[in-house]
Amino acid sequence: MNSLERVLATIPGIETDYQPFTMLLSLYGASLIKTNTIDYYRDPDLWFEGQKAVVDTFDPDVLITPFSFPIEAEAFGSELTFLNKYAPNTKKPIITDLSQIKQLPTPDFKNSMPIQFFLKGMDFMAKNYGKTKAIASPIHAPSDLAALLMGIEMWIDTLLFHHDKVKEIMEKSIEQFVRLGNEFMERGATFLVVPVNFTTAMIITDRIFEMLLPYLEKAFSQIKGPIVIHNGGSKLMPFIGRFAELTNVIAFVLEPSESFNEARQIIGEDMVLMGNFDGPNFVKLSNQKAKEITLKILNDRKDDKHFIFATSNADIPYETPVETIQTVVETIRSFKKY
Amino acid sequence: MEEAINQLEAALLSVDSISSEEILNKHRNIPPIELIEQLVMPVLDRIGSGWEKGTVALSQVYMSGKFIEEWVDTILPSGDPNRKYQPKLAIAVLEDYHMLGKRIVYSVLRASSFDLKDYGHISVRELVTKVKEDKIEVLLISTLMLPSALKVRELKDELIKTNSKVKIIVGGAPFRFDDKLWNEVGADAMALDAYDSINIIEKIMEEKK
Repeated sequence: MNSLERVLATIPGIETDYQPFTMLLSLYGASLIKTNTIDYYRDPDLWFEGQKAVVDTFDPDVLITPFSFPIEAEAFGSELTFLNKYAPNTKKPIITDLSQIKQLPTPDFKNSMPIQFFLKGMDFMAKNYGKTKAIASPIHAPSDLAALLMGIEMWIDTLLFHHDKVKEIMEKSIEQFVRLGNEFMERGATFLVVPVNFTTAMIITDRIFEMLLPYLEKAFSQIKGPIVIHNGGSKLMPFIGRFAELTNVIAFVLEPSESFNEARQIIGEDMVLMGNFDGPNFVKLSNQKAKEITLKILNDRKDDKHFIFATSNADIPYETPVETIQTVVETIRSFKKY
Repeated sequence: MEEAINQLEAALLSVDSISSEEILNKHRNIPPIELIEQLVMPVLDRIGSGWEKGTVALSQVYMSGKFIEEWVDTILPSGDPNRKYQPKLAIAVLEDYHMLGKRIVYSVLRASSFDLKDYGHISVRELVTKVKEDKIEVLLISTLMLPSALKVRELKDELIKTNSKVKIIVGGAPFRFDDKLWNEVGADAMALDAYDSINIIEKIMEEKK
């Protein structure tokens, strides 16, 4: 079995030769090739060099195309801030007044430097690994993109009191989601990974979530491929059941404190579950502790054929020792699942 | 009062400003500070705990704080002598535009009858000047991103140069992720959330007595 076959086998629940896994090592590629992250997130060639180092060092089954949501917001004009050894962040949302939504142009893909960074990174991945590895493309959920474009405070206000403006911004973000998502699929992505940081019960109420669901359905149903819902930095419960009903959703990446068994009770036995290993926390772990956590997760999912070991939350930090990550990889590879 | 607490909590969580105001106004016969301590604070505390436990959404925390802050302002305008004895307080975000955390802390503090200045997003240089001009004794810095958190070190160094004795309380994601960072950047304390900042300010007030 190659990595792609191993990952695809988890969808129908076919036994694999060993436990497939992935880690969010988008930032860590820069660490492996010892480059500064400012150049790394601007140059798709350099970014891919880092990802080749990730494959050579850890050989994950799922590779991840450029992961940086602020860069997606930059395509709309948002200002970024860079700090070496970290992924870029959004400094200033582009929308500061609701009247600006109507005039906000969606990115011109051909001439947008941020969008071209994503697409070139995607092309490098597909050309080099498309036949042997699963390729996951992270993309903002339309509702999260709206929050990033206007800032969470204005987004909450808008959700509560300006439903006409919710419609306006969601139309723009759905257009972007569908267009970029389908570009990824057509260029060779195996599935999209859609974090929902701002579309969870930690941020919004049940009533607001219900209001957003038709927008999410409209967006997801137009994607020409499967979708994995990612926890972002938030918790997927208790909305996971309603996410599961959305078109094209096949899998979930859970937050480290969330229970796979609880998720199974809600979404059933057939959808793919991933996650539970806290990516950003990697840097604080000893090798022994990393191994313990890995084994705990593997034993919890021993009988689960619809499971992919994965890190949750954000990137694994730049300063994480290679040996800690290798310990996790070796623990997964030597685990007797069946 | 327990019934009023339950009713107010339910109304705030439903973002029902009319019912919230009715419940609060029913108890206007109680002196403002006592009303805040007996009714408002327990409700805000419950809502904050609810968010920690995952039963309340951030949007509800935000809207509750904002509503209560506005209501408290009507019964205890800024500068009212009935407001608590307190050090001169200010809150700011350093060279960053992520304002929600600051907004929530600001609302919760004002809803708890504290009076404080809101400097919005501001540069280190401007903040040093403002702290000096306004004779600020406790400065709260809200952060979301690491670059903004690291700016606190620069702020602290500049404040030392001016012989400022201001106490700096920091909060936000970078400090929650790395629990030693607040000390490394030279802050005096780290608040886990808006409610924790009240405890820290009260402790500082005790020390000043």
